[in-house]
Amino acid sequence: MSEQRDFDDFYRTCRHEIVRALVLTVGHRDLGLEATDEAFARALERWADVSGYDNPEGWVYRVGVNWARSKLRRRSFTMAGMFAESVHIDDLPEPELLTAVELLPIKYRSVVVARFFLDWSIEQTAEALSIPEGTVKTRQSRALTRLRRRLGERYES
Amino acid sequence: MSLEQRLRSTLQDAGSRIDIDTEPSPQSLTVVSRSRQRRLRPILAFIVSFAAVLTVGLTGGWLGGSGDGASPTGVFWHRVDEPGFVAVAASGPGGFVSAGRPAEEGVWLSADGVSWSQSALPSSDGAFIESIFSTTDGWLITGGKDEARLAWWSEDGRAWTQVNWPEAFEDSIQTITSTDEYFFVLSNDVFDEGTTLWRSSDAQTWAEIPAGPITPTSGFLEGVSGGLVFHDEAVVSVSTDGGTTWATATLKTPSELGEGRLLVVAVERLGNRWMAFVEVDLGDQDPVQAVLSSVNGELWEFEGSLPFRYMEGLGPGGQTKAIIGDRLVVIPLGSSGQIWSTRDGSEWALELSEDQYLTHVDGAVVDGRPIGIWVGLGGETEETVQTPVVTTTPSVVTTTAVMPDEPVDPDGLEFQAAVIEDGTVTFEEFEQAAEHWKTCMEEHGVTDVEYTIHRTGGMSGSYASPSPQGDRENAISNLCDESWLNQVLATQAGY
Repeated sequence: MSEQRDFDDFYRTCRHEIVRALVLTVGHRDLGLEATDEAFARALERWADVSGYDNPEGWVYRVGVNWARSKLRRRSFTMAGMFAESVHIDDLPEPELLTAVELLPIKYRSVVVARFFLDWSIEQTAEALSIPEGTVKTRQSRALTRLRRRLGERYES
Repeated sequence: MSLEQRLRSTLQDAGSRIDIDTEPSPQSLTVVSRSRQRRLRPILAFIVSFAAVLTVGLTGGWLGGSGDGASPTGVFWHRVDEPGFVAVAASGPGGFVSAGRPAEEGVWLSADGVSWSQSALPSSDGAFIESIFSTTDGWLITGGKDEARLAWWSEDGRAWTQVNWPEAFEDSIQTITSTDEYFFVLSNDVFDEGTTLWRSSDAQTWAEIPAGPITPTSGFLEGVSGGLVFHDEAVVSVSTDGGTTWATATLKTPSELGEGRLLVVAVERLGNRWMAFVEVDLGDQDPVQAVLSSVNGELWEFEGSLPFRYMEGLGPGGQTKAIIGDRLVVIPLGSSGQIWSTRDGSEWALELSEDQYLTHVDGAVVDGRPIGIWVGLGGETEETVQTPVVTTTPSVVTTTAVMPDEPVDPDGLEFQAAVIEDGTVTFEEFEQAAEHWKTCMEEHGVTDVEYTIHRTGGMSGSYASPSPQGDRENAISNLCDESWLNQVLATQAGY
C-alpha cells in the first residue's frame, strides 16, 4: 500500500472520532475541527514516522490538544458556556455532568475524554498524551474528585 | 451507576451529537501542510542526546590530526568525546554542567569542556532531569519523578542538594528560566489562577513579583545574557533589572524587507544592545529572516538580513544561541553543520562550515553565560551518532600549567619517523616544519614553545598553557601542523 493511500485510510477511519474527542476536550466545535485538521496535517507531514507509532491516533489527538491549547491561550478564551454552542446539552440525560466536565482544566479534561470517550486504557492514554501512567491516574482521580465536588451528593461514589 | 459509567455514557452521547458537516479530503490537508511549512513555529524545546565518535585530546604533538581548529574569527573549536551523553547543558559557576535524562546517573562538570567529572544528585533514584539553569551564584536542576516535581541546587556544579519545589507552582508551570542574577518561574494556567511570576536568587526562597507585560498568551519568557525577555508575535518586552521594570515595543517590518507580517522568534542581549531575530512573511514569496536591534528596548532598528534561513531552535528552550565573549553565536538547525557569529547583528561570520566537522546539525545545546560556550550536535554522516563540539575562550582559564615535554601522540611520531625513513620527507623539510610550527604557535600567542627533533623518532614539542588541559594550545598546535602540511608537505606526505 502506498504511503499516501495508507494515510488516507487512517484519516478516513479516525477523523470522526478525533474530531469529537477534540471538540469535547477543547469545548468548542470550530476550534476542535480546526485542531483536528491541524493535527492531521502534521501527521501527513511526518507520516513516515507517525505511521510507525503504536497509536498514531493518540499522537494526532495529543497534537490537536496542544495546538488548541496554544490557540486558547492566544485568544484568551474563557471556557464557560462555549460548549453549549457546540452541543445541544439540554437534550442530554445529565447535562450538568457535561457542564462540569467543561469546567475542568484542559489537562484533566484531556484525560477524561481519552479514558471515558475514546475508551483508552491508562497505558494508551499515557502514551497518547506523552505523560507517565502515574500522571494519568492522578489527573483522572483529581478530575473525578472535582466533578463529585461540583455535582454534589448524587455523584458521590 | 458510578460516576465513571455516567461519564462514559454522557460523553458518548454528547460526542455523537457533535455536528461534523464538513469533512475535508485528505488531499486538502496536503495544501494545509505545504502552507504550514512556510510559517515559522518558534515553539521548539530541544531535547538533545548524543554520544561521541571521535576522541580528541591532549595530543600536544605533531601531526595529531585531531580536527580541532580556529575559525575565521579566531575562536578555537574542539571536538571532544566527553561527557558522552548529553540531553541538557548550561554554563555557570565552575564551568559547564551537562547531564542525560536519568537523574540517578548524576551530572557532569567541566571547567573547559574537555575534562569532565561526575557528581551525584541526591535522592534521584527513578527520577528524571528536565532542565539545567544557572546564575552567577549557582545552579538549578529541575526534574521529576512520577507526578512529583523535583529540584536540585548547587553553588559550584559539583556538590548538589535537593531543594523543595514550592507547592504554589503545582503543575501549572509554563516556563522556568534564569538570568545572571535570578531564577524565574512563570506559572500560567489560564483556566485557574492566571499568570504569576516568581523570582529567586537561590532557587529555594521564591518571591512573587509583578508579571509586568507578561499576559496569559502564547508568548515566551526567556532569560538571556544580561536580561529578561518576553515576546509574543511582534511585541517585545525587555528587562535588565530582573523583571522589576520593562520596556515594551511592537516591532514593525523594516521597509528594506518589503511588506509582510513580522514575527519575533528570539531575542538576545549582545553588549548593551538587544537583538531580535525576526521572520517576515511576505505572502507568496519565501519568508525572510532578519535582525533588529535596540539599546533601550523601545526604539528598534534594522540591522540586516540573516545569512541563514533556519531559525528553529533559536527561541526559548531551543538552546541554539549564546553569547561568547563579544560575539553572539548561532547554530541554525538544518544548516548542514554551520555555526555563525556576529558582533553587531549586521555582519555575520561563518565560524564553522559544514565541511569542517559536521555534515548536519540535528539539535544543539548552547550556553555561553557567563563563560565560554558549549555547543553540541550533528554528525559526520546520517548514520553517525551525533558529536559534540566544544570551545572555550582563553579568558576563562585561570590556572597555569606547562605541557609535558614527552610526546603524547605516539601515532604522530611513528608517522613522522616513517616518512623520514622512507624519504617521503627530507630531514631538512622536517626541520623547516618544526620551525614553522614554533613560529606559528608564537604568532598565536603561545609562550615557551620548544621542540626537539629525534632523528629516528620524530619531533616532540612543549609549550605553556594557562589551563591544565591545554586545550586551546593543543588546538593551535594542530592548526599550525595542518597549516604547514597544507603548504609544504601535503603532496609528499600523501596527506
